[in-house]
Amino acid sequence: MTTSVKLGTATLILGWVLVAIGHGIGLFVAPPEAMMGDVGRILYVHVPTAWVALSTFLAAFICAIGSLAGSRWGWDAATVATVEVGLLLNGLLLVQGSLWARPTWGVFWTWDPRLTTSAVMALAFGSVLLLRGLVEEPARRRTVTAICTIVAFVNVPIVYMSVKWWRTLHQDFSSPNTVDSYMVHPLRISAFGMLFMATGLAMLRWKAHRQQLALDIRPPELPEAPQQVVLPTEAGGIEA
Amino acid sequence: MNEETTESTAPTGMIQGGWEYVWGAYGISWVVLVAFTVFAVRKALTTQGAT
Repeated sequence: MTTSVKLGTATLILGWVLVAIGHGIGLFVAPPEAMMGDVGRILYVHVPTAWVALSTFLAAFICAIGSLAGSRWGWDAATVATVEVGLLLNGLLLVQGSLWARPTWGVFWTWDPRLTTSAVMALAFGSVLLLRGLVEEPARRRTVTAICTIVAFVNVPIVYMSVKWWRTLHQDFSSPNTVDSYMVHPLRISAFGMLFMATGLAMLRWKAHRQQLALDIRPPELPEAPQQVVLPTEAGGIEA
Repeated sequence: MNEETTESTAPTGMIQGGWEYVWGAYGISWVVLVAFTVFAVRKALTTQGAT
């Protein structure tokens, strides 16, 4: 096992431990939310997922810039790895949000700006992976992935600011200042856990993509050189 | 008058129950994350010897 795989696995395990503790406190120790009751416990899984999804897409954006600016293939592997993990969290975010919306808003889905921009974010980053899969030539694929990631990222600040710009159904930012002190600890522990988990997953995916890229960009194996042919010359000697 | 004020500020509209949505959100999240963790670890280990 290489160092990067060991480090990624260790980070992942730490993330899982913290998430288990944070979720355990959120589910069984923290008090019910004043208005939402026990349904409010979805906070401890939904909000950390949202924070880390946006952070992972920010990391993907930075990697995409590095991929365009630098010459190392590791940037390309890091871009696709972070997009994958961010998309996974984005998908979970939408499902968790829908399950929270049903008992509190009465519907699983509504075209609220925060929800709509989050869905657009998932479609945009899903398209990055789709387009990447369509390009076979590694150098071109790297450029396409980086440019598409940068374009998809344009929506991320809009997702973040949507609750401020359009004050509609979705609640404002959640932070330690907006929740009760009893709720801060499980929220914080879950958020750090999710951050470590996403980092570990991205490291492992980066490693796998880097290995795949090494195979893709390896020069093609040439056929073996023909054996030396010895021809008789007119003078009776031989020439190669 | 005071009673009305107290009643209007108290959380009388607290949602009761709803644990099925809570378990649904946590359950789906854990299943998906565990599945992706297994996938990521296996892929990272199996591609180690690829080069």
